[in-house]
Amino acid sequence: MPSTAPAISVQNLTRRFRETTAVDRLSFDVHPGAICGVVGPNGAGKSTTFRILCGLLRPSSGVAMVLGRDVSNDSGAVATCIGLLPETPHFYPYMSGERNLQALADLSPVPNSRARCRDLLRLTGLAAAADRRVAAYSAGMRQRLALAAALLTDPPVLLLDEPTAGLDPTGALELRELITTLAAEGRTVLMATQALDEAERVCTQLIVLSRGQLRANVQVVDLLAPSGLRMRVAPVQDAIRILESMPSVRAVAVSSDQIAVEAVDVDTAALVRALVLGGVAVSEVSMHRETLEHHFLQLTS
Amino acid sequence: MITQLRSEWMRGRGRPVEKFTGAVVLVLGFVIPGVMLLASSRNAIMRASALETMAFPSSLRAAQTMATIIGPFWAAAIGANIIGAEFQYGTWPLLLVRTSSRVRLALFKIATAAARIILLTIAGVATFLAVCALVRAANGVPLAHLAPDVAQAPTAAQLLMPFVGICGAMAFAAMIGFTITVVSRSAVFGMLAGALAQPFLFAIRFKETASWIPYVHLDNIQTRLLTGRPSPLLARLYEFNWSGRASAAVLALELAVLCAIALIVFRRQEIVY
Repeated sequence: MPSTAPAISVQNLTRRFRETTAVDRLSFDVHPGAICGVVGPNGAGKSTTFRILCGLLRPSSGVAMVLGRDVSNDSGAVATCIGLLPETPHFYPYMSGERNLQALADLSPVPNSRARCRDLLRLTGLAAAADRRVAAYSAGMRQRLALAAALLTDPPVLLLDEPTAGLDPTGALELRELITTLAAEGRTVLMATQALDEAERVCTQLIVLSRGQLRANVQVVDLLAPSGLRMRVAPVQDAIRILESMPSVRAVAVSSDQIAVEAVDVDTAALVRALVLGGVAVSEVSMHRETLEHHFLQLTS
Repeated sequence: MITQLRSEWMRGRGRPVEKFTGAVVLVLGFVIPGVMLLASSRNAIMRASALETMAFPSSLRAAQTMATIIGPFWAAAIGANIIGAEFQYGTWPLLLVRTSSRVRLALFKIATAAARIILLTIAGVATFLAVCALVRAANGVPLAHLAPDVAQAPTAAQLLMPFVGICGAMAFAAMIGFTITVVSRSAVFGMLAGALAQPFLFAIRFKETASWIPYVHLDNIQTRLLTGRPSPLLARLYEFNWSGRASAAVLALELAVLCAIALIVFRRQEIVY
């Protein structure tokens, strides 16, 4: 875990809407340069958390900080260092994409704003449609324009609420690559998503929410680390006896023609050597890791 | 600051309410002299009267009458819509995440709305005067003409003074429209409230209420600026005998209260995108 101060810090954050608690004592930190995915079923509190972080909603209790500034008390300062891509981006439909961007650039200190707008339109693949009215844009084009708007001030923190929703597969792939590049340049990205494969591919940290509560806050690399082995062996009973006697093995289970070995710090070579020395024939060995979907269902069910 | 005002102006330029309000004002400037000509086409006395109305300074008075009646409506529409459009289009998240102060943003909106209303009024009045002048020129009569019973040509101050009342009424309509829209988050409700404020406040003008009704104070200021004396009508109807400065202070206070309500609500308002 990096030792620097977190770019985003949420402590005991709670938000109630009358009887409904949308976010319930949520706490997590996101360090600079991380791409943190926020996943959870509909109504988990993802968008509410984003709205609080960008100062559009106030928390009922708890603290949300962006780059050390409290979003409730210092929302003006926070506004200058975040870029938001809302869940459903809305623009002025009677203006062209470029004019929309220009009008937003004029609201914040964007040096050489005209050139910056053109660069961002090119970056998001909208250069050809820059002069078209936004009313004629598809959902994916609006999403790209919203990303361009989020990047206008070159903010160190990006809040992306379902950024690839409405994009075609190619557009989604390009956007994922762009997000990775932006994080590699040192930006912190907090990204809500429903697509678990997307979270698996892009994110370095994962926050799982369910009913407003934090279910998990893990590094993706730890979550997806191999958790065991699958082996084809004969005779099976001898193999089970040998494996169960090994201290690193936590559990052994038989499934159809394979045995599943759950172990801590798996040393595959040592396991296979012990089996072979014990007279067991090993015909196939593969590393096993659970999918993110498996973890997600376990955590949210 | 200039770029922020430019942004506000740019976002309002193609907005339907602003566009159509502008179109209606300009069309009225063109159409009304035409209607006057058409209506008087078969009657020589009526034609002479219409042409006399189109002569300066009568044409300016006619324009002022139109602005008095219609002005508060378009002012309320623009005042309500300048903030209501952001609710309607769902664009608040885009704006609020890139502005360091909501109060500043709202003040820029008020300033832009005021500029729009003033420009629109000037454009509407100028169009009407120009078309009247063209009609008189086409009929071979002088552009300016004083009625026979008027001994002396009015001064510029006398001609322009009625705009004090018109601008004041429009400022109140716009500010009421703006504030109600912020509070209710509905541009339609804001427009209605702003447009109906004048007839409503006119209807409840009594001795007891006159001291806080803005239109009474506007009448008072206008009369004092024109004649240098208190209005005998206001004195007789409402026992109203305030000084011009006191009336101006009440108007400023009322506008400031409306503005403060809008800013306080807007500053704390939660936006769900």
